[in-house]
Amino acid sequence: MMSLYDELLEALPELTENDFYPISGSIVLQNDSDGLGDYIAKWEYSKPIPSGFTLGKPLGGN
Amino acid sequence: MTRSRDNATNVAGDISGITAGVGLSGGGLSGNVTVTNSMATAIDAAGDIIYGTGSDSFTKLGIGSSGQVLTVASGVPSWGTVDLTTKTDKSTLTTTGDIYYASSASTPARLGIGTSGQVLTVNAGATAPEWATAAGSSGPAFKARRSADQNIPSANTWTKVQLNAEVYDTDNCFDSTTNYRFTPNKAGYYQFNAKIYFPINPNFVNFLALYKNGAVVAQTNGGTNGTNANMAGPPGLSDLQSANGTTDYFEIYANSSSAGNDIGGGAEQVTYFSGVWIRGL
Repeated sequence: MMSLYDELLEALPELTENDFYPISGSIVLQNDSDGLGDYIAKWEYSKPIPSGFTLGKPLGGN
Repeated sequence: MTRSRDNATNVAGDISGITAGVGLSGGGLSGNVTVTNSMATAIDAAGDIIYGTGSDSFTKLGIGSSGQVLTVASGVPSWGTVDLTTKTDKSTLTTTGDIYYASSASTPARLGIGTSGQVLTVNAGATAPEWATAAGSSGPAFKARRSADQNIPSANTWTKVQLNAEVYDTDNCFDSTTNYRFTPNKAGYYQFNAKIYFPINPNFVNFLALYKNGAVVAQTNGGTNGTNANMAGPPGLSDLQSANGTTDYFEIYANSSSAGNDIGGGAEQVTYFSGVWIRGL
């Protein structure tokens, strides 16, 4: 099963690891270890979130 | 009717003579009898008081001024002043340890003794003294650890570290079973320390962050990769943060540029998160 990170790289091949870099990256992915999986916590990339992806934590989390 | 002295015959009730003694002079069967006791004449003003000064002697004490009371000074009576406003009303104090204070001007009040360890302080309205627990002396402290390895399956994804064992938790503020977070119950500034054990690899970089209420407030990194060759070692951080003592909570998150890494678990020195209350807000 692909991670959210890998899925985003596949959806936007131009993305690199530096776009997710914790200090200077424009994208933040997060997992609150609550069983709800990875989600996009911040998206400040120059292009919109690819279709099929959403910003924020899935419902049911803490 | 007059009676001639020469031919008078004593009858019952007649005075036949006066004998001098204390307070009288003269006497006998003729001449003047003089009252020598001057006690009556010593009293020459309203309020005068006669008191003895020794055997068969006396003196006068003139009246005092308004409000004075009769007292004793140097062994003799005298008029003196007693300040009744300074007297303590003993009925106010009912219990051992009571403290007497003014609840308002000239109004005495009682403060019962506090409990062991309390200190005397001023109430919130600054209107009266009260007993209270000493403030600023201590607060929550905790250290939590990761008991076994935790896999971080996704690269470049901040993942909460599940600190599922407690080394100590003085005030039960750390949740090591559900949310793995510290929610202090006392407002103030807290010193936090954290470290995670990530495998060292020249091809990836690891990050550690302190989160407050779900947002990063401190961050550090370790490991190395081609882009950030100066980064090395497992990440650890320390930081000082404020907490409101009710809803603020703190967690640590890990991030690795490589998927599938394990955060090391085990003894308390491997992966841990600790904090302690430093001072009030």
